[in-house]
Amino acid sequence: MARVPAERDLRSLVIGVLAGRDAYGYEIAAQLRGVAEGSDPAEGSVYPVLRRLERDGLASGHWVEIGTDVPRRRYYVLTPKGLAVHARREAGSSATSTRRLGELRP
Amino acid sequence: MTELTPAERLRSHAERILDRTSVRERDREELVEELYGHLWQRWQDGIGAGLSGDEAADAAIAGFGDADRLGREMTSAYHSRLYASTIGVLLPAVAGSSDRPYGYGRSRALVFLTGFFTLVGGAVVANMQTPFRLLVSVLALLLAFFITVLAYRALARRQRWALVYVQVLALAFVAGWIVECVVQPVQVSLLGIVALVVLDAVFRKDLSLWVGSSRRTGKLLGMVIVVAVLLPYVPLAVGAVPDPTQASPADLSITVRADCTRTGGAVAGGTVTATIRWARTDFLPNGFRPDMARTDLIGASSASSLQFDPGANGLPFPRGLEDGVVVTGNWTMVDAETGLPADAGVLVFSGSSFFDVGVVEDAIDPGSIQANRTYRASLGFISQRSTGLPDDPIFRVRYDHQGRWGAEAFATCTRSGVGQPVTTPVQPTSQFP
Repeated sequence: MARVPAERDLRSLVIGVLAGRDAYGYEIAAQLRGVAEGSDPAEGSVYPVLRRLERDGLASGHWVEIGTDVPRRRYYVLTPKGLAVHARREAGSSATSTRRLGELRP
Repeated sequence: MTELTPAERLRSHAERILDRTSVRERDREELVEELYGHLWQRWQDGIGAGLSGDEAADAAIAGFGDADRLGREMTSAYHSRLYASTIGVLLPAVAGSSDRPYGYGRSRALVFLTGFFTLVGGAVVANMQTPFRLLVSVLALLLAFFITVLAYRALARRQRWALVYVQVLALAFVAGWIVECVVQPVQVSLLGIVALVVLDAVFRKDLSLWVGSSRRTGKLLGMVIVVAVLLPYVPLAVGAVPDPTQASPADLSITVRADCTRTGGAVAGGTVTATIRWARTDFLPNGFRPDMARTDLIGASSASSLQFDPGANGLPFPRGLEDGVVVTGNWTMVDAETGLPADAGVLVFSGSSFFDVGVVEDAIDPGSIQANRTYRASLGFISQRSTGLPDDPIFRVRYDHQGRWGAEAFATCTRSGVGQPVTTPVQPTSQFP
């Protein structure tokens, strides 16, 4: 059975996607399908995460008109605060990996 | 049910998710648009992959996630966790009430009344049933009630099957009321009236939109819904089902013979005797269930009767007592061994209920009937006409077992007869074998 990622994991993944470039919900969900190996988050789950990121000031959203017959899209971009959080996580993740590697060495 | 376009279904699903949240109206509108945009794009991808419009909509909705869970997650995105898990759980139902479509409340009222009358009506009907039929009826009524509870809740959760159930329910009640009025004019049916009031509302598009994002009802589920609507009527129809716990025609032996006296070849009088023996009565300690002794659902009585018939030769038979036939004695069933009366001693003369000929009907007291004993009833008759009776008058003894089954036997002055099962409810016929 597929594992549904915890909210915190999903939040990290969404921040990770947004750190690369601005994106809208469908795009983020599509990327997570590939990134979150072994897990199967419902596509709709990214929207509560996105709205929480906005509320916490880590991301901001803006609407973009696409065309007359296409619903407009709400793109999200990480704020400086969001980028800082991402950078901190990346650094922490890298340090943890280095530490674990060291533990494995004889 | 009104068919929705895939786009309408997708928007309905987005709205359904937000119905489960407590967010500000402005945020709600934006969120609906955003979620709808996602579903729309997923739908487009599905069509691009070769799916039909409805299949692509199904896939988009299924992939998006459970509406209730997403609603809770969305609430927690706007509020503290404590709020989301306490007040946030309670608020949506209140906050969403203004968004409910026209007909929602009426539909639920119809379901509620159906459930109520299923229980009340079921309790009344059940008291008149035999044990086996009681069991079948109770199971059917409980299932019917359970389905009304499910539908009542499912309607609030915007599930399409519940709306289809309400629609079938409304149609069934209105149709039933019409039939009632045709059979017996000026009938007032509370459920019929409610169904009539609801009928327009339940077929409006806004209710279809309300449930538009939920799974479509296929043929199988449609048939299940129709059966569910018919379930409360099981107690009324169960009488037609053979009941293994009850006596049947095979348990009854009935014979009739006529001993005639003749004057100049014509029948001047005689005695008709019927012998009845039950191998078993009902599967109850004291024979017939007391409150079923006289009447059951269709109002038929448990009775034996002796009836004179015009005769196979077609000659006019003296009609009743006033036409020159006098009966003597009582058509009363007695125990053949003890001679004790086995019925209530009720003797009914009726000259109009059957062929307009003399009818002597005797209601049996079920409490006094025992299995494997022989009972006898006889009645004398004398013709007061100088020409006597036709050569071949036919005498009939008909037994009606509480309207559930019957048997009848025929005899002439020259031939005795053995009882044969007849259909129930026993209806008068003009043909004799």
